[in-house]
Amino acid sequence: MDQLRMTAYASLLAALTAVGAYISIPIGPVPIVLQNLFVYLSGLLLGSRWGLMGIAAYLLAGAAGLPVFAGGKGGIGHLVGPTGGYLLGFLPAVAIIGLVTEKTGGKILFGIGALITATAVIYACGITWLSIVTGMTIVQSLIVGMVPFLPGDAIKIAAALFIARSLRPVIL
Amino acid sequence: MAALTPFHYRHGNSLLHGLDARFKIILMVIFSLSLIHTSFPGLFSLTLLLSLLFLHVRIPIASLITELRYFFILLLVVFLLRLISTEGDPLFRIPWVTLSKQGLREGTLVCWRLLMVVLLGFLFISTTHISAIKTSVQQLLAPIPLIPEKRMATMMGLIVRFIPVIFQKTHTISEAQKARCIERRKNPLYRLKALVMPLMHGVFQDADKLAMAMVARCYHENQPVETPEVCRNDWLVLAFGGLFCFFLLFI
Repeated sequence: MDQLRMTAYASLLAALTAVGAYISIPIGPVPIVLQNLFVYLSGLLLGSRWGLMGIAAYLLAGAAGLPVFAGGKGGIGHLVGPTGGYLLGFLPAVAIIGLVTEKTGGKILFGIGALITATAVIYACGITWLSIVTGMTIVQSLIVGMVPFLPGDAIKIAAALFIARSLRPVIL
Repeated sequence: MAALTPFHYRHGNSLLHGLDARFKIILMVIFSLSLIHTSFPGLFSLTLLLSLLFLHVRIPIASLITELRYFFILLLVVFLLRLISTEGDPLFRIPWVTLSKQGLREGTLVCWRLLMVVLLGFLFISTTHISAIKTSVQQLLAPIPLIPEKRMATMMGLIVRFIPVIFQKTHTISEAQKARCIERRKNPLYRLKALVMPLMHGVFQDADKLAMAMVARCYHENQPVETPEVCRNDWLVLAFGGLFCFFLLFI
């Protein structure tokens, strides 16, 4: 029962990630999306193992061609495309958040630290990939692929911590 | 879901509809990978092939263009950045920026490749049913160790099932809040909170109920999967695709 419930929760968060990707605002080569809010939540609520499983299922569904990536796109091509690095970066990010949450029992300061580290990991993967695929220099990639999204990310981190705190008693 | 996303299955009777989904996935992967190194002649022949396939599958081109409009904006930005940043023989000068021949060439190449990759995905998803994708992913993952392929396939099915539920719930809650005059509250944070919190609680309760229902119906992971027969056509198309990719890489 527990395993099935966690499967359902992980799929739900993956589905929320997909919905977060639909609501995208196209600015520059990387659209602003709510995807990473739900990636943070997967780590915070499900822990490293199930969080990873959920995000892996999400990426797999996208790679197999289901329309779950930003703007309702799907296909292995999207993983190799310019925004593929961010998507792959979700995996280590969710693992980091999950591990820290498990070890520290969801203390808020550790949560903030974990989320900031995770964001840095996502950008490290995303920016490297973006500059390889489109041939821009690292600085150009940083300007189009990271700087415009930092304020949004700060809001998303705060929201994720808030939502996680309110949901934890309900689901565990 | 079909109304929300351009990429969805369209019923049809073409060669691609009849092909085994596993073969289509493999073909999509080798085409996407060989595109990384393809240059102009290859891209031109691939465009020709894809246009023929699009005509054969009968995808309305006009709807394709409207559905990909955001992607075209992205392509334009990438193209302009390439054009400005590549050094080379100047084509013409505007103050501050020099546009070079190499930049024009590189920009076109990169954008053309990205466009081809997205069109490949579009072709795949419009000719393959979701249940076929699910079973073929499970079968393709089976030989890889450390991946629980059956659970992954179940989760993919659940993801597809949850997406419309989430949209439906968002709609219901926002209507309910409107009926309670939420729009008269000026604080956007308050309005957001009034939407998001009930939504999250609601969908998690739904997931709980779903798990309960699965237990009640004796769900277990080792249910048998139906494997479609692989026919000669599948191998022929795969061989043709492989040869075509080889050709793409070497011209």
